[in-house]
Amino acid sequence: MRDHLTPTRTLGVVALCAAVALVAVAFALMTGSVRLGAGEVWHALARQPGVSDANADIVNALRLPRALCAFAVGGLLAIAGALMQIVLRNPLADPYVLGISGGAAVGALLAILAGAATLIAPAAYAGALLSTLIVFTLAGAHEARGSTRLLLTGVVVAAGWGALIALILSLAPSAQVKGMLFWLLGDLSGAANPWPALLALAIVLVIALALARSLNVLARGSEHAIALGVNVGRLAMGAHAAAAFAAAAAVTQAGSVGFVGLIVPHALRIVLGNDQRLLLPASALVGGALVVVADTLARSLFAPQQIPVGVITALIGVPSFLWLQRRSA
Amino acid sequence: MSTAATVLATDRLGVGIGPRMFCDALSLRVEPGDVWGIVGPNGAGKTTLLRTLAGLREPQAGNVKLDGRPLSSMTLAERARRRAVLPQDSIDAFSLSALDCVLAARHPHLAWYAWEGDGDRRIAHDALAAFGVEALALRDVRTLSGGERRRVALAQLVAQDSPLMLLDEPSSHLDIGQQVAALDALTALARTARKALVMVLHDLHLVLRYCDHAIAIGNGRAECGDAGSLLTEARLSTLFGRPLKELRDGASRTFVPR
Repeated sequence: MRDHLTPTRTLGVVALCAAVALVAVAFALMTGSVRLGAGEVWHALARQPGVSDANADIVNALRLPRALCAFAVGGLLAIAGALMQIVLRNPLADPYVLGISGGAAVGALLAILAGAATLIAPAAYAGALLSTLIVFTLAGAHEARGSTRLLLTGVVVAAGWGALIALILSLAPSAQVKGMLFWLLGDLSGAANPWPALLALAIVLVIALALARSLNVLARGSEHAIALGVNVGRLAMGAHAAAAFAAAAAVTQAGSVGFVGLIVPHALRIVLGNDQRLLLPASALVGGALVVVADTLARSLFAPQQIPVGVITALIGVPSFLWLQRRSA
Repeated sequence: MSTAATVLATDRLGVGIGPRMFCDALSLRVEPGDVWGIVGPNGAGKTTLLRTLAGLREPQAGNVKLDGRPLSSMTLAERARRRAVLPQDSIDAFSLSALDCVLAARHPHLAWYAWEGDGDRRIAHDALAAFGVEALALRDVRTLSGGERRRVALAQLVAQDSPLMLLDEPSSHLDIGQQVAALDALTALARTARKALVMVLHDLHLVLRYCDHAIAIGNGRAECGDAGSLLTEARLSTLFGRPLKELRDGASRTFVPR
C-alpha cells in the first residue's frame, strides 16, 4: 500500500487531476460539427484575431458554457457520492441509491407534464430536497449509528419515486415522453449558464475540505470517531446536507446523470487511497472531467442527433470501473 | 504532570441499560501508573461500564471525573485528549493502511486545518514497533489476521498518548505469547510514562499477573479493590456461577473450574 499522504503529494495529485480536467474541457471546445484546432480555440477564448467571428461565437457562447456546466455537474455528483459513501460507511451509497435524484425526477417530470418549462429546475430542486428530508425523517439520521437503516430507507424511498416516475410516464401524452426520457437519462443540451452550478461546486468543495480529516476518522465507524473527539452527529448532518445540496444542484442542471457519484469516488479510492483530503478534491475534478468528455461525445458521436449524457457516462463508467475493480482484487 | 492528580474518579456511579442495572454505586479513584482489571461474567455490564467511564454513554446515576473535571462538562475533543478507548472489535468498510489507522489517533491533538507532521509519524511508528507490527505499517488492515489487527488497534490506542487508557479485552484474538507481549508493553507504559490503564479481561491469570486493582462486576453490583485480595475462590465462584479452584505456583496464581 502507498505511504501516508503528505500535503505536497496531495497538491501534486490534485494538480494532475486539474490538468486532466483542463484537457477534457479543451477537447470539448475543439469538438463538434465545426472542428477547431487548439490554436483557434485559444484565440477565441482570448478574444484575439486568428479565428472567424462565427467560430469564436461557437466556442464562447455555445461550447464553453456547456462544457463548464458539464464540469460542474460531474464535480457535484462525484463529491456528493464521495461524501455519502463516507458518512454511511458504505461504498454503494450515492445520490441515486438514496433517492435524491428520484425525488428530483418526479418534480421535473410533473413540471414537464404541466407544460411549465421554467418550473422544471425549481421543481427538481424541491423534489431533491423533499426526498432528502423524507429519508432523514423516516430513518432518524441524527442517530449516526443507524447508517444501514438510512441506506435501506433511501433505497425504498427511491423505489417509491421510481413507481411515481413510471406512473407519470405512462400517463403523459406521447409528445412529452421523449423530453421526459432525456431528462431522466441526463441531458445537458439546455445548459446555458454554468455559474450557479460552478458556485455550488465551489461551496461544497470548501465545506468538504474543512470536514475532510474528521471524515477520515468517521470512515472507521461512528463510535471510533466519537472516541477520537469527533462530534459525529454534527459532522454527519453537515456532510449529508452538503451532499444533498450538491446532488440537488447537479440534478437541477442536468437531470439524472447516473453512475458518476458511485463510480468516480470508488475508482479514485482504488487508485489514490481513502484519505478524504485528497479523495474529495480529486473526485470533483475527475468527475467533472468525465462528464465533460461524456457530454462532448453525447453531442458529437451521432451528430446532429444528440444522445443523453447519462448513457455515455454509464457506457464509459461501467467497463472502466469493472476493470479497475478486477485489477485491484 | 509531576503532581499526581487522580486521572479518573467516579462517585456513586450507576450503570445500566434501560431498567437493567449493572451496578448502582461504584466509587473508585484511578491514579497515574495504576493498572485496573474489570472482571465478570458475560452480560454483566463490563463493556457498558467501560463505555460509561469513557464518556461514550451517560451514567444512570452519579458522575465520572477525568483529571478532577466532570466528564459531562468536557467537549468530545477534550475527552479524547484525556482518555483513549480500545473497542472490543472494529470493522473496516474501506481499505486503509495500518499506519493511517494509527495516525488517526493523532486527530484530537491537531487543529482542524493541520496535517499529521513528522512528530506524529514518529509516534505512530514507535507505537507500531511497541507491539511488533512495524513491518505491517503499509499493509491494508483488512488483509491482516485478527491478531495482527488487534495489535494495530493497540498501537493506535497508545499513539493517542492520553493519560488514561480504557481497553475492552485487549488480549482477544492474541495467542498466549502475544497476550503477554502486549500486556508487558502496556504495563511498561504505566510504569515509565505513568499512564493509567483500565481493562476488561476475561483471563483471570492475566488480571492477577498485571493488575494492581480490580473491579468485579456481576449480579447487578460491582466491587472494587486490590486485585490480589479481591479475586478469591469464593467471590469468583459466586460471580461466575460455577465453582472455581485456585492454583498457586510461587507468586503466580490462577483459577480453574472445579
